[in-house]
Amino acid sequence: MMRRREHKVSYLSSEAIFAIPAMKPSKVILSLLICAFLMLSDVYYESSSKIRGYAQDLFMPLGALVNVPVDLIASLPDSFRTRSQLKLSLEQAELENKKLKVINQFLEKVSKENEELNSLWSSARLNFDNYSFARKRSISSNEFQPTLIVDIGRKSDAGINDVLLSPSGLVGKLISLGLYSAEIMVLHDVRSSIPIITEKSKLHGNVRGSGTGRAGNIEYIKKTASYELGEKVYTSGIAGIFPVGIFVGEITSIEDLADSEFLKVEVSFLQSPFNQDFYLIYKNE
Amino acid sequence: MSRELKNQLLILLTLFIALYIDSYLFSSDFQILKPTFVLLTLIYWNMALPDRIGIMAALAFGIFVDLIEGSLLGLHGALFVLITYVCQRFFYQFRVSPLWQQSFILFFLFALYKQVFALDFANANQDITNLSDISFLFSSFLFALFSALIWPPLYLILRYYRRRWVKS
Repeated sequence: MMRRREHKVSYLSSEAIFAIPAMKPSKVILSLLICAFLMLSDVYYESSSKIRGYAQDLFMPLGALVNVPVDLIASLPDSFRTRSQLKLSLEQAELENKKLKVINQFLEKVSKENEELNSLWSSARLNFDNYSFARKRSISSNEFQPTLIVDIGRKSDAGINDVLLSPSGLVGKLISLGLYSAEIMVLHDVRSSIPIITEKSKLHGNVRGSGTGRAGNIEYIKKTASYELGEKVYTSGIAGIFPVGIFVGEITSIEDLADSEFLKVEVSFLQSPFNQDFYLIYKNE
Repeated sequence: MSRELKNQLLILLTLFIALYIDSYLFSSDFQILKPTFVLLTLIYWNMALPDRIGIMAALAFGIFVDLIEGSLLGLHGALFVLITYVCQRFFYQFRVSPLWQQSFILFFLFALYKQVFALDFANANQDITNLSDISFLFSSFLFALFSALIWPPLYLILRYYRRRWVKS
């Protein structure tokens, strides 16, 4: 049976004209107005930050599905192995296990020595209750606003503006929170601004991101400032969001541009959000 | 289940599969260049069955992509709606062209599409003029090229799917 909207009737011959009607411009305009409203509310009131975390929770099954083909491919060779081959690989694994146990014995000795030093260090500046683990789920392909999505535990007490750390230093800060997911604004994001202090010259400033794969910039630096190339940059703790003394990057270029009243100081972030699977969330006190 | 509803669900299924591919985490270099499969799939359905896919689907999937990508809420939505409208307006001309011509048109469309993401809507960083950024232009070019290259195989797969499953 033919649907009513699949044809028009000619005024001249009363014959059916088979044509698909074009989309109504009013619908397009209405949709664009909805989008404009969403964009403006996001720009001025950051409305999306309240729902993004929960939306990521909804998309979590999609994230789990993403790993299915990889796991299947990884387990495929095992399906074609004979029992004797599996037995052989089990024996090899047992041997490896024995080796690891021996190595562990040596490591225990070393770790006991380290423990003393660690406890001294940790008591000085860290409270381990403030840390929780996070696992990378995905990262957006947006070059200028790369957003990292991490899985957090259901009982995690992470909050907005908590800091994401990796062994190499600062990764970013938490901007949206769901039940199981959190969205992180990484250092490379053009919206990101981090109060810093330099290692040698002890000068304060703000590092602004410039997008994935690009060096950040220290903003509004007077031309008389004496930065050094290769100088390391750490968080200064000003504004109270980022804790003091976390590694941010290294100064890679200092330019005195004739048409600018400020120095152009570039900081390369050594931490790429892509190269890490696990992170620590630091709950700032 | 009515045939109409079944067709709608089958079309939505392809869009969800595309969303699934889009949310896949590729290596860092490819992550920026990977084509937006949802948009390519949306373009296909707009071209093949324009009366079966509406503006609401474009808007909804645009907002889904915004939420997954962490971009400004409504930005992908607006782009998807505009591209859907253009595709529906010109689908008669577009679908009779050979595949290489379609890819060529999509190359320019995707190159333009990528430029929108260089705009600093939130006025976050006044010092950056992204459109004059050579590396961004280069990555936009590669993104558009990948999208154009992926179009013929995707077109053939979706055409097979449509002929096999989506009955009119």
